[in-house]
Amino acid sequence: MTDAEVVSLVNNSLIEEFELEESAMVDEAEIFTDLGLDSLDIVDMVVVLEGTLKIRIRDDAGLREIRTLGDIHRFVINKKRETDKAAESK
Amino acid sequence: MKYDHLVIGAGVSGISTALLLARFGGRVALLEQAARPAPLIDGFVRNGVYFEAGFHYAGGLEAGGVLDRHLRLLGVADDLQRVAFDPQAYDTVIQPDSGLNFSFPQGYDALCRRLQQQFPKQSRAVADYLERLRHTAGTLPYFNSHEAISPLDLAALHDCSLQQVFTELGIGGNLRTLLQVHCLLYGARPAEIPFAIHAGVVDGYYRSASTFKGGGRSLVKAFSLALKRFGVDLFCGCRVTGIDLTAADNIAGVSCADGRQFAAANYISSLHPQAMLKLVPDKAFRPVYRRRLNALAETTSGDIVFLRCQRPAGMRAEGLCESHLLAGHNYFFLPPSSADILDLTLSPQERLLYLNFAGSGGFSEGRDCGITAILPALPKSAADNEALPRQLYAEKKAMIGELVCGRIAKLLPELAGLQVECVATTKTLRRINLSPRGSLYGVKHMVGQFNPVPRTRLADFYLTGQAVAAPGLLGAITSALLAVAEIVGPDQLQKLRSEVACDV
Repeated sequence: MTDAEVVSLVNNSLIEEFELEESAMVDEAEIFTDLGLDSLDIVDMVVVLEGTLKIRIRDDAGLREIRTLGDIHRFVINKKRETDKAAESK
Repeated sequence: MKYDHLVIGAGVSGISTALLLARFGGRVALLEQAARPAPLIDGFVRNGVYFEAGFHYAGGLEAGGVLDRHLRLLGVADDLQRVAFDPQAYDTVIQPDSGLNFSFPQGYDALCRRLQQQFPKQSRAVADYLERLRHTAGTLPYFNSHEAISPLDLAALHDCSLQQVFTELGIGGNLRTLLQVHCLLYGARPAEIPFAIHAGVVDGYYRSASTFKGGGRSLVKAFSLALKRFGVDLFCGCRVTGIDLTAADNIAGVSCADGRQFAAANYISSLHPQAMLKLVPDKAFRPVYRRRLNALAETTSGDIVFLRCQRPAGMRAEGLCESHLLAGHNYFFLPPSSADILDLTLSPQERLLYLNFAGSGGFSEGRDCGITAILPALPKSAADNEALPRQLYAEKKAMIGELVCGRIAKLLPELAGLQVECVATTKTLRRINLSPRGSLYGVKHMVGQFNPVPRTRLADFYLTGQAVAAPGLLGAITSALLAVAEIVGPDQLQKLRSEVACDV
């Protein structure tokens, strides 16, 4: 999966599951202000991202640093690469 | 009338939430669809004998124990009298095929000694395991946190299963079997249950196992008295049919089946999360949240057989010979050693069978004794029973009763001649527990699953109930504490805790 594909998959899932506007899905969008998510939504965001990309992020400290949609993209792209790499080396 | 708080559901968690909020001075309404409060923990009397239905025994009721402190906080402790189960043998485990026969004594030290005697080669593992259990239970944020717990921290806490801890400590064989029998207290398998939840539930029982004089019924009475004393308005026979939203997606009020409407500043649902979702317009929650709650796994279901027993002349099992009394004991008849302890696909002849001899917390001379036997079953079988014609369903119930009597007569011959008073099936549980799949405890707690937390996206709307904390009396009250901490603030709750502790 290319980075662009990951980004598109993530955006589409978030739009659908959190009922977000497509026009709001820009890199700089702050998740807690611009996208209107709150700390409660983080659990559901984890569920969506883990399910969509088949990765595990719930226990990753990096999760707590996420502020913008761009942060989400960079975070899951890295995680996806790590996961795929680990799967290949098995 | 406008209330400060409106609590939906008068089970233990709803009542506890209402009592605590009233203690903080709020005007509280408590709505219950049944004709009386806390129907699930109440027992019943049939032909002069009292039977326990949903309350069997409790841990942590010793003076200063976690449940004792909780009951004091709720203002109900003074109306209850604790009756200890047999100090030497409150839970007896019998596994016919392996010859395992072990009785749990009360208290960590006694338990540690007895386990080490029985398993000298795993002596170190016994000590390590019990220490880990005690430490985990003692540091659970549920009981100790002065601040709100983040959902991600909870998820991290719930990431390690009981089975993983067994593997890590090298605990196997009969020792592992014994340490997992209490899975029936939360209705999940050792590979599923987060060790933290297991520890939180079991720790209390390892310290002390007791009931109340008068059984579950006395608990209902104590709760009812406290509701009156603290001025909570209890509305029984009042089924909430909908939570109504304003155009701005705030709660306008709740509507009930009898046409009554209520409004409050805060709303707290103690219902099964899936039942709660049916009351709230879809737009209140995100699709992902609704899907998560609807996908929550269900705890085990079960058939419950109520047995009448004439006092036997003597009992063979350890601990019972001297006391003469049946009351104050439980038995766990285990499946074959090759099977998973909570394997619900086993035949009813082989499946885990639990017997509860709580009596009414004081078995009186010359009267028959009520025994409650629980045979766990798959939650889906409630649907199977639903489909059975009346006659077949009656036959199935009679068959379950006979089967349970047969197993008891074989393993405890002194109890031969038990009479089946009545049988409750998974179908009964579905009707009475109002859990969609007729489970014993509602939603399961399991590794990898995110259970709901009290705060929701909907302003002024909170969740309580066992799904939020853990099953049982302790779990239900803990869930109330979590919801109330969210509403009044953890500091206020801590202040009340200190005040109540000073009064004792």
